[in-house]
Amino acid sequence: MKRNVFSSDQRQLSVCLPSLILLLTIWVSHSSAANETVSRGAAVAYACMICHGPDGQSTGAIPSLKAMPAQTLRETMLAYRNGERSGTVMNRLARGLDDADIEAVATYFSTRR
Amino acid sequence: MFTRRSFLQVVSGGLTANILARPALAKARTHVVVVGGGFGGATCAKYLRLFDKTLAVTLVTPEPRFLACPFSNAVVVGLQELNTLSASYDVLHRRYGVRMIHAQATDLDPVAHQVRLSNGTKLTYDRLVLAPGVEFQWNALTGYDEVASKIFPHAWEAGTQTKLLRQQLAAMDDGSLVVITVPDNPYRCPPGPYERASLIAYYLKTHKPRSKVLLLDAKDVFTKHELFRAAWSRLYPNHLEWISGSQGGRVTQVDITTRSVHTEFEEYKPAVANIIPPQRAAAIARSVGLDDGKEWCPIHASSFESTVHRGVHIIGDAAIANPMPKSAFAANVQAKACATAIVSLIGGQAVPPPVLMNTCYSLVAPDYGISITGVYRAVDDAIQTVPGSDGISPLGASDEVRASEAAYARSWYANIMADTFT
Repeated sequence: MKRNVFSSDQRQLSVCLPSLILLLTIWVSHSSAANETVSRGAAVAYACMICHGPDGQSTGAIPSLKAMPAQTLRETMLAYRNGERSGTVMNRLARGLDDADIEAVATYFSTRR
Repeated sequence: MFTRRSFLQVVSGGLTANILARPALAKARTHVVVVGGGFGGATCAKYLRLFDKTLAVTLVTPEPRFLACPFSNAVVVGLQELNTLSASYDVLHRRYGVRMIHAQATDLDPVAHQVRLSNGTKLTYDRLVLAPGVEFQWNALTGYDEVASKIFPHAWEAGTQTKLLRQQLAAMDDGSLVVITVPDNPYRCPPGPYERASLIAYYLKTHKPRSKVLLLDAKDVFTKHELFRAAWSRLYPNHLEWISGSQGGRVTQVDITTRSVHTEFEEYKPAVANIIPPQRAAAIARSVGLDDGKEWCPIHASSFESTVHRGVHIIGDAAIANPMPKSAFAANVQAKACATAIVSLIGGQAVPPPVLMNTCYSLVAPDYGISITGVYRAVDDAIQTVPGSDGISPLGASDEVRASEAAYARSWYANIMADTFT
């Protein structure tokens, strides 16, 4: 199950009540399995911070992710994953993340100040 | 300390009214004890407090300061100083409220939920995290014990041994032989011996060009071996030789009285011998059957809770977390997954799917870095690599790519140290 209901799917929700109810049911059931303290976006971000620094604030050559707009991070990760963008370790690591994780971590870092 | 467990025990013993009338005791906090102050234990203690400030978290570690193994190979060859590997535990206490005890955990009672320490303290826990790392199997290699390590250093834990190997390399004459011996898997930091051989070859080429490093390996293949061997051919054709296990590289005996290193077919008399001994989980993680007779500790993949004793979690080098390597990155990311699981379990919630990754950089030269990566998920209580996420730096990459990975390696080190200790 993909949890990328945050962007394009949300627009559909506003015009289609049965879909709204169905997708909200799926979303709630997915969320209820997750820890309330540590969101999925935070959990993925904590792994990223090992290279990108605490809260995404990096020291040295590795870029910072802190406060990066969600769209920038999402598009960059998708480009790494599908090979449109060439990196060192990031092509490989991006292939380990699904759409929902990329969306969640992009949203998480965009909110860090 | 009065924990939730002991509080409940007293309550069930018939003192309910008396206890509840005393607000201080009614506020007894859930207590998590973390044993081991490395990348696994320190990270776990910090993130437990980040996730749930109501938890009482005690970190037990013998050393007053942390000394990192990553980049200790750069110290060995004089590229940086030992103090660059050091970190204080003060911030864990001051900023995150982790209680520090500098002692060794010596005994464990998983039924009574108690850990005994070398200073005589007995700690009662609600949950225990063991991150004690590895211990060396003295005499598993004939002739190599703790006394021998003062002559032939292992330098496989940072500190005195790192300095000793550095001093021996600096003191030896040009034209000398350096031998490094490598054990079978598993051991801490799989690419570490090959990075060390690379940087020692760099040192010899630069400072003692008539000298050579000989890598005697129990194995025929090793992590990133295609990348290492291609780099060695190009950078160190006259300064580094690797002998695989099937070519006679397996060391069978060392003798400090004759200063000799023996393989099945040869006897070497190097000026400097760096013996990396066989390893296993540290003693506390093998106590009370936690290793299930395997020398390393089996765990549940989502929570890192022992498959042998409930309430005990094992992370980092001591755990069996294949295909994740025994690396600093893996210990840190496992610590966060473990802390998340513990907070969930204490809150009566389901443990969420863990986020598990690894990236290991190695320096082949100061401006030549290579990497290996993996992303993992828990499937049917086993850790599996997500297809496509594992792999190494490309063979035949440009010098610019190698230089950028060397810079990323240094940046990674700064960032993982900050993530763990600040």
